[in-house]
Amino acid sequence: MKNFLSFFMAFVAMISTVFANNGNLDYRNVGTLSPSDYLLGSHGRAKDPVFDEYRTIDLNLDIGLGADCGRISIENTMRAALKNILDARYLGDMGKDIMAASPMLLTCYFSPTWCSILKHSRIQSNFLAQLRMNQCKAIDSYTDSKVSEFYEQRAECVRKANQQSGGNFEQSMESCKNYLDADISDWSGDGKSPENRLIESTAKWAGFKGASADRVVNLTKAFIGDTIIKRGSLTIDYGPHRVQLTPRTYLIDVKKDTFAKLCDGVVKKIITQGGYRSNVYKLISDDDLQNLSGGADHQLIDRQTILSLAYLPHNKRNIACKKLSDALAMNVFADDMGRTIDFASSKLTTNPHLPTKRQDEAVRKTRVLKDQIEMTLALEKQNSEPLNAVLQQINKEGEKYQRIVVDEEMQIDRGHEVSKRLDYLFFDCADGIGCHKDF
Amino acid sequence: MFSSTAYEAFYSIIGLHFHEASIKIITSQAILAGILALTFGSAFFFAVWGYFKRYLPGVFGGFRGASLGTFVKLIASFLLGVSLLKVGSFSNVRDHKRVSWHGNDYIATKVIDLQEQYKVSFLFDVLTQSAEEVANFMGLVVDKLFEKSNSELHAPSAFYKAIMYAGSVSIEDQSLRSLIDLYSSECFDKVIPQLEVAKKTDKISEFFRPYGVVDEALKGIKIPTQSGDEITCYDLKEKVQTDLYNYSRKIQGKVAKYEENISLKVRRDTINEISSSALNNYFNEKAETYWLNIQKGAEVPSGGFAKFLLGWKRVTSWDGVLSLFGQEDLEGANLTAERALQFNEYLKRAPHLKGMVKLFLIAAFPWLIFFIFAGKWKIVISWWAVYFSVLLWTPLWTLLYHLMTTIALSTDVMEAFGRLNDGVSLYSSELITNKIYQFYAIYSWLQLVIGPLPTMVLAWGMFTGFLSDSQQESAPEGISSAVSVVGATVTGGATAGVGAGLSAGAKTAAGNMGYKPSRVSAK
Repeated sequence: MKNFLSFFMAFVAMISTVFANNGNLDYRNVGTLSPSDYLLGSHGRAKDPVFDEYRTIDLNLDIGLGADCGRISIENTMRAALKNILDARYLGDMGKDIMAASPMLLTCYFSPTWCSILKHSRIQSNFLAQLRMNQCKAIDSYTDSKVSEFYEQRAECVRKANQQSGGNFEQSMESCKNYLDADISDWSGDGKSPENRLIESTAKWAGFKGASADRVVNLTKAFIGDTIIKRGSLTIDYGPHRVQLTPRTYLIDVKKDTFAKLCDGVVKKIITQGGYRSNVYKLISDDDLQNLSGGADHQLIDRQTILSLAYLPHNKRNIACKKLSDALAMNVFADDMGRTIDFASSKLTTNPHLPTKRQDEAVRKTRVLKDQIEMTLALEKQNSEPLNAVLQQINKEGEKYQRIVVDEEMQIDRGHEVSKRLDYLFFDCADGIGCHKDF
Repeated sequence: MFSSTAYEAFYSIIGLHFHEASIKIITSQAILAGILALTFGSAFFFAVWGYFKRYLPGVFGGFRGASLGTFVKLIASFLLGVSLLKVGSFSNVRDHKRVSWHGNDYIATKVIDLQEQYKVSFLFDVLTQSAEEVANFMGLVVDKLFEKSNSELHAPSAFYKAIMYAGSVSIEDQSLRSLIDLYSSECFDKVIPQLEVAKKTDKISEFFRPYGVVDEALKGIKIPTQSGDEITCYDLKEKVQTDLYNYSRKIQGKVAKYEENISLKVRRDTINEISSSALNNYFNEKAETYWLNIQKGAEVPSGGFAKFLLGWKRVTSWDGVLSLFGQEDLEGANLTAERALQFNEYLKRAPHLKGMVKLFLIAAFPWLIFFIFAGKWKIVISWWAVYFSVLLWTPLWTLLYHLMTTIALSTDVMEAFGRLNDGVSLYSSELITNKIYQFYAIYSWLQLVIGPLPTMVLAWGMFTGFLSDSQQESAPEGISSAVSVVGATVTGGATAGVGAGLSAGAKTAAGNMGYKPSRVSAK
């Protein structure tokens, strides 16, 4: 007995420290999973280090029109191009160092050191050179009838400037920037415009307005890029994302975003406010639920499901929450992709105001986008499950644990009543020595 | 009057109430006084007739004559009868330490207009006191001679009560329940296969024992927490033990205070016993009927342990035997509560019976006057004998209690107490509770047989012999008819008693006078 007592005394302090930070331990700390719990597992890639970190360089650069490709000074072009490309956004201070070494650039261009630096910066030297040459060729071969006059005038200006600058293409392009303010026909079919956008103009033509339409337009831009013809320049706009997205990387982004909103947001809020004992009907607003539903016009998830998640053991809840967020994300993704492909296939490719080349471009890009989406869905099929199935499974599990909690509460009440009754019966004073009033 | 329980005292007090009220009714109601006068007058008349028949023509005589002694007996009976109604003494109900029960809470809440003493006749006082003191002495002797665990007279059934109460503990602390639940579902199943070195008969207790052999295995099992910190099953075990110990201490406060009053001589560790019982009861709660009354833990995330535990218990426990006899009502989640409630019924059954018999005897005493006025004074002796025999139930029960306790505290039970002293032992707890319950169930049924049976035989012999006198003493037809007519006029509860008394009185008087009914010809 003494040993028993001393044992407890010795551990009281230690135990209180161990458990101080963990609150009450209960069934929610169960870590063991039953075989059916593995159906809740979600195994898709949560992030893609290659594609997430190796961002597409912003191509909103003025690549110019009508270059004399044969007269481009590599040295001057490289120096100006590097000034544009190697800014602090991509290379930090390394860009300055490269610029400081500009007199040696030509040498460095062919030297192993320069290659090493560029390689280290994830920009390959031949990419830069090739890029400019390709752009130049593309511009040279640009034969759009709608802009041919502008092209000719612009090309003449550049040619002259190029002669004057000693072959500095970048300088020539810069000097001819505002050479001509001629407007070209608006691709939306609304008169003339100084600027035409493949996607936005089509959206305008198709009458796409409002937040929901903006979402579709922005997504289309992010996937295929919005080609902009503006006052002597051709640029590509990827919308608010600023970088090109593929359906797969977009899906990953949606998954991350949904997980953050659901598991790190709504569910975490409920758990910190008392878990299943909190009032989920007050704590969770309609906006919270709508935010989890993407562009859908109804809520994909309800409060009961959040409550069911709160009932689950921590380990199981984490798994189930990830599964649910993935299913929600897939639903949002499918919805977005459907609308995007609808827009691209039914509007972009049928806009009669687009030049033929642009129409071809639209068809090609739409086909590519469709292929990409199909491929993404096919690849994700192994990792995804219909939202309804996930909701059913979570609510089924939640119901099970809710029943346990309710039964437990009722059992305690019943036990309390029985104990009280036994107290009164056993110690009813009838033997003269045991009276409940004395205890 | 002595009474070991308030149940018995309650009935005795009610009996004294009726006793007092009966005297008031008999002395205040003219009709009862008239019947008494008629009874005594009839007896006296036939005595005179018997005395003077020798001087009368043969046609007026025919039965035995009466002597002067007959008149003396009649007058003595009259005085004796009157003394039954003359209140001048007091009677009260006390325990065997001679403390009055009137201050007891059980009595105070149940008896209206409770008094410490009740007015009784001197004769009643003498008769009851003599019987009570003799029976009390016998009870004390038996109690001292055979006492095993505690005094049955001063603390009736206290040992069984203490064990059963400790065994009926249910865990009402929600956090503790959650901890046990988590511990059993998260740790047991994973470690049980590693328990080769643990005691084969009591593996589960190892999970709650200090310095148990499972500690090392428990240290390797991690439990996820909300905060992300890691705790192990070993940490959880320590927490469960600490909380269970603290919880048991709260319950133990009650039991210990109770046991202080009964000088329990059986050594045991009450805290360990309560801890073990509480765990047993908790696991019982978690179970429901599965197959062949073996139960499963369906409501906990992992039911494997509960199934194992309950299956193991069924094999070794009294429950398995009960299920064979179809008494499933004593099983399942309500097992402990049902058993405790039934035990409580056992506690009350015999005292209630004894108290009711005493109530009847005490309340009926004043009504004996009708028999005594008729000359049947021996009924007082019969009443005393029956009353005394009822009082002897207590010494008999005391003897039986100590015998049963001796048997209950057999070797295996004492060994089980020893294991409980070492720490938590579910098997020991189960064994002790089952055995104690089983023996008390037997004891309570034996109480009902051993006490009342001799009294019934005695009462049957004495009262039937008294009321159905010999043929020679039967009353003449004319007198019987007169008695019937008088009896029919009496209403209320006194009818039967008075009629019987009158009839008996007339018959006795006639018999004493030597009257022999003439055979009436069939013609």
